[in-house]
Amino acid sequence: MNSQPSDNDIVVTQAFCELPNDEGDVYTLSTKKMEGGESSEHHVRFLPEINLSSLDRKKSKRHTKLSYRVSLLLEQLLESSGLQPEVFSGPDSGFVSGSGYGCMSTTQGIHTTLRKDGPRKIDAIEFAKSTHSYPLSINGIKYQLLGPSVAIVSSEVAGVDAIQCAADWIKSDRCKRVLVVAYESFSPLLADHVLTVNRELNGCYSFIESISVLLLERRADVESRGGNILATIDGIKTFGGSGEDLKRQLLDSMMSIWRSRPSNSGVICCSHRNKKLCDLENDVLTSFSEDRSFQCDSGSKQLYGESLGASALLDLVYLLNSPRKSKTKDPDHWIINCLDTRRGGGVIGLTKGAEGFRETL
Amino acid sequence: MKTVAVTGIGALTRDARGVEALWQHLLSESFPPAPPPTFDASLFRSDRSYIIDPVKQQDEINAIVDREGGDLEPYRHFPCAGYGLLAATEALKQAGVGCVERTQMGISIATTSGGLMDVYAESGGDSSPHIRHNSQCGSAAMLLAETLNLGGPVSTFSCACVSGIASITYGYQRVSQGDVPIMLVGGCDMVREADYAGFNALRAVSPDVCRPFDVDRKGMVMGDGAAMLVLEDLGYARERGANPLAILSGSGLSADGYHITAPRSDGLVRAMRQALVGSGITTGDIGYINCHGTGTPANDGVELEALKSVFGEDATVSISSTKGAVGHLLGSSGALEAVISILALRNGLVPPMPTTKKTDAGHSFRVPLSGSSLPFNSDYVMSNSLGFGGLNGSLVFAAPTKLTTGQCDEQL
Repeated sequence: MNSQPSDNDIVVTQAFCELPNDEGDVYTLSTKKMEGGESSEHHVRFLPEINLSSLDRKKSKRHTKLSYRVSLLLEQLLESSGLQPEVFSGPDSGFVSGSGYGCMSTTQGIHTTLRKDGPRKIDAIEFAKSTHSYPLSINGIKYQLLGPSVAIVSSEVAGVDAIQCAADWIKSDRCKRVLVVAYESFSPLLADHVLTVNRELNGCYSFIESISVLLLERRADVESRGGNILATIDGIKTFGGSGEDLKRQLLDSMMSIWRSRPSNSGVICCSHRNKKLCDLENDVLTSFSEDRSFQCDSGSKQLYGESLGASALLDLVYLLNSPRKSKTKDPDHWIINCLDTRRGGGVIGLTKGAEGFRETL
Repeated sequence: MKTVAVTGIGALTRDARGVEALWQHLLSESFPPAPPPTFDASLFRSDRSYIIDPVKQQDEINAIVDREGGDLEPYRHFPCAGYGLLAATEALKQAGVGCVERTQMGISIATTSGGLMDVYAESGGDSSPHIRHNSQCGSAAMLLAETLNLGGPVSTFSCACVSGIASITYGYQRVSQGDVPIMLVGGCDMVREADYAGFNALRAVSPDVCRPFDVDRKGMVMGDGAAMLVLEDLGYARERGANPLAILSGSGLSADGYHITAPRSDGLVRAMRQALVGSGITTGDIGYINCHGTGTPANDGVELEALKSVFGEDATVSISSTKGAVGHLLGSSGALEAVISILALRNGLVPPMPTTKKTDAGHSFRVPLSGSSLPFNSDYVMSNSLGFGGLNGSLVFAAPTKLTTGQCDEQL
């Protein structure tokens, strides 16, 4: 922990997510292993289907399935926050998204139209929807979020980058609050791509579509309106490197989160699907525990599956929202680890707030 | 907060390999747009572009990858990353960045899609591992980090035409907050047929040339390429003997909350004011503004309105858009225009707009019409971008001469 609570702390006041349920489709890729002829199956589980055409014409034309889902989560978040729309709208509210594959499912549709029907059949509105910042823009317009607004597509670290941007903006007074969205949305072709790459990496997880939304604010602003604090962000670090360099940077980043390690701390492990990275993290965790023990949790992956660029934020929502899902939720102080398959990673350090954890997952 | 210096810049456009060639190209007012070399545009409203022929760049990309000891294969499939590599190596060379600095250097790259997923999408899933493993929006940054062996964090921004300023702002935050001492920031992009078709469908393209701020403007002309900047903590730069080209003194980001494709002036007004406040200066300090200036009737009109709101109805600061000379580089436009702004600051000159003959009435800004460069005497320049969804960004660069002795001492 860095110090006593300060007015300038960045705190999480709302955290929601949408996950696949039993009604959602599943894409399966079967793999015959080379050794022993064993077969294995990996899956991508999709979010429940949304029929946009059942919405009113204006909404159905305006939204993609993804942007509509984000819109529904924002509605939920706003209602829960107790903030009046007139307070929430305006230049004091920023908006940032993080995703590994962004709006590629929509982009792919543009390609299909182009190849099948020719360039003149490309629809201007559909083209605008294929921009990776579309889910942000369309909802930013709806809720009049006029502060900084950017979309990040940094592979598996996108969610950490997004929360880093949010913290940057609040710290530097660019705005007072930031909505952070992290998502992965796959078409069947994209699902096949993700699973094929995973197979080539000998990855061990199945994947999920997911959307997480957080509201980050400054402690003083939340306390002045009597709002609840779910967690305080103790630090965010992103880093690069591979191999031994990555190992050193991950350990240094974890160590840098708290000046003196709190006695009751825990780590949400990345438990990367790539065995080498998983082993690397285990080595780092061994070094990290040299002076004091901590609890370890595999986070959202063990329960739901891997969600790539959205995983770190999903872990955060999981941590804040699901006390009964895991027995290792006692610590007040947590670090969430995130590693990219190719290079680098990020860590988020947090201390749970007075309200503690909620059960909304 | 650390002072953030720009110590290296690099650029690639259709007509210019390198910043010196780019500056000469801007002054020469030559090289009109031409049909794209990468796809047949005869069916479109316009067949004009500043699109690069990737084949012509491949030898130099090969040589760099060979020298750096990287894997060439991905660069064959993803020219966008190759363009980024060309601009990056130029910026690194100018900054004198060696192996030691690279171990700490982060990278923050902007792109719209850069063709990184298209090859896979069009292959229907049947592609080589090289294509598969690089078929992600963030692959250009990742490839550059791998090839150049950069040890710092790797990030990618994709928020339409504001991506470049977003990636630069992120790098600025990392360095100014002391997270990393040095960052490679910028953008690389490649016009895909789908982008070309999309902007045609939006009727945002000109059938002949792009005429920013001209009364007869008819739209944009697309282009591709890359631009990179080395941002570093001034103290770190001084310590290793690097020469600051400029100081990135402030940045602003905002949203209009108005329309997906139509801009409104108030968002840009807020972004510019944020950048000015961050720089600790007033409007009178700015000598030149490199505008987004796409040459579409809507954009340029709204931009003038925003400039008048911030700088005053009677302001005479020099403004221009360089899109009439290089095209609209989409995700990398903000980075290229940041580089051009620094070149203008260092030369004290606004290059002419080769296609702009007569500007809109109702403003008093100095505009360098075709055939006339505009000298200016100021230590600050501004560069603005606007993007789909009403996203806005603004950067302010200061001349290194604006550094006080105190700032230098503090940093050292």
